[in-house]
Amino acid sequence: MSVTESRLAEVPTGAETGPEPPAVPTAPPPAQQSPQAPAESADVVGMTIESARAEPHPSRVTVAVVMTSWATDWGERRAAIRMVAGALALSADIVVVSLDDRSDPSRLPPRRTFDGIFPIHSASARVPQRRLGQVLRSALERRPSSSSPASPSVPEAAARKLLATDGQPSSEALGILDHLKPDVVVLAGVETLWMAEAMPVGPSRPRIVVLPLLGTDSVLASDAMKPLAEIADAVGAFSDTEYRLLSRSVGSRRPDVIHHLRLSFPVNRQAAHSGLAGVASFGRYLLVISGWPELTDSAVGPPHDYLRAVLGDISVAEVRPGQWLVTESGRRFDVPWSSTQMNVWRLMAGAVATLDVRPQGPIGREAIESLLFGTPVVVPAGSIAAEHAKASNGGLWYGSPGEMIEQVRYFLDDDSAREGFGRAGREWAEREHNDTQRLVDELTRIVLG
Amino acid sequence: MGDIPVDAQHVVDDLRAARQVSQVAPRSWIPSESFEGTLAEAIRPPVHTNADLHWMHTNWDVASLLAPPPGKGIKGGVRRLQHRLIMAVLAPYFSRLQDYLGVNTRAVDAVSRRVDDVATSQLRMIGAVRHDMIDFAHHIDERVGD
Repeated sequence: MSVTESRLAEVPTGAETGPEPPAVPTAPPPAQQSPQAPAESADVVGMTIESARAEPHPSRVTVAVVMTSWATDWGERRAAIRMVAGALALSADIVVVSLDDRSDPSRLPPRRTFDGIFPIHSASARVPQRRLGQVLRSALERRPSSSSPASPSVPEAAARKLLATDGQPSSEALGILDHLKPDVVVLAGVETLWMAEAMPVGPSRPRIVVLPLLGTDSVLASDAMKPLAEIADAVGAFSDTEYRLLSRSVGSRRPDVIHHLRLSFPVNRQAAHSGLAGVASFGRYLLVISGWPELTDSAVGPPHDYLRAVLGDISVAEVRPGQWLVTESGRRFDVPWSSTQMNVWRLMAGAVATLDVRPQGPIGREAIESLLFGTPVVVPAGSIAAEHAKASNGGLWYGSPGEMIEQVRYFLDDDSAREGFGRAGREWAEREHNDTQRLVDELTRIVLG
Repeated sequence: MGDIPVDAQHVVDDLRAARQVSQVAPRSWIPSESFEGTLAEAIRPPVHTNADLHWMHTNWDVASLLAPPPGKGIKGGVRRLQHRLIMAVLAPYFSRLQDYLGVNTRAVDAVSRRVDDVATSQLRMIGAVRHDMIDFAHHIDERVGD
């Protein structure tokens, strides 16, 4: 359990259970600071953490990073935001403002906490309507067809509504920012976009940097995003697709405001090389990722017997919610080891291929990490992970379960092709996503101006 | 082994084209397009995991049974002669039968996909309605509590 999780378990003060009091944020006193940074924080950028923990310096700018559900979101979006905040912490004082659903008294995050190197302020925000947004997107999206082969998109009128549905307005968050008076505000995630318009204008207005983190969502290209050209000082895209979509909306007014950011995912190859204990006896295996990290959206992976029926005699290792599973014909191994990033890497490093069946996010982190180990990936078409597979020639992308099976079979049947894909993927991943200093430089340039 | 340049787009297109050539019978057993996690919650298993469908996909190809019989000596020669005589008359029928088996397998697969699609949609709708009902119940509960 991380420091944040353990703090979540703490009994909130009486004020927390009653009506929400007006926010009176203050900088966390040293006594409240956690003596231990969570592992994820400690290796955020693998650099000078001690320098980032230094006392605020008068000459350093203050950057407020606004995001949603800091304590409960464990997906790659939060990992990306942590990485951004970690990189910025090398040259600025970082404060995180988390928009939280505080309607459930049994799961109230503390008003102020300290997660590793970042002070966190929790602000009560409207409960997100993610399910509604997903249903609307699914229902309204125009699918590409033979007569109209363009990318899927939603009608303009719907795009505006969808953005409003995703938003989590919070007057408390505005109050916190008013008190903190940051020099820069980084709005991370579509839920925070409303704040770009709500921030007061004038000479005291901080620099606004927007990171939509919407991946392949066609809303990025809609007119509803165009006002960002006027109200944001910079907009960051984490992939080519996100950059291209933003260029069609925000970029049509101010192309200079959009910047491409390449996250860095250092992996521990030396430790991963040994493989996961207990798996070696299974021989060649296919890695299936159906649920990772914990507490994020997961999928139900194809049953292992079913995979063997269509792929032939191959072992299957599955990273899934709860206990991981490794099977071969007539034998199963419920992995007793903890579900850690290191253990995912160990499985990736030894797999014939990595098959990802999860709902895909805006970063494609596991695809990049698998490529860094030289393990080809098979990922859903239309995702950012598929973009990585295509750009790197390090994997294949499926539009249907049948294609998925045939692509996995392609890697199982042809060792030379698999090695070629692995080599190409690794070269690309090392070139594009293994340079922490470049990320720090890019972020410093666009965030601090 | 030397470095072989790879082209992911080319491989994806090739595999996709092979699947979409309608005149070619299924090359091997492939799962239904409808494979989706939602079906795991269904009371009945998805149609595409049906064992008979699996058998159809793995046994539709009878080409090997129509090949000339192996064997040496007089007995083998007689059997090959029989085979030539039979095929001279029935080859068009066997060819049509082979095509029919392939098309039939694809048709059954298409129906099973459609059935799984319908089942998936139903489960998704039921899940959404159930979720809404739970929300509604919570809402009523809170109001009654006030």
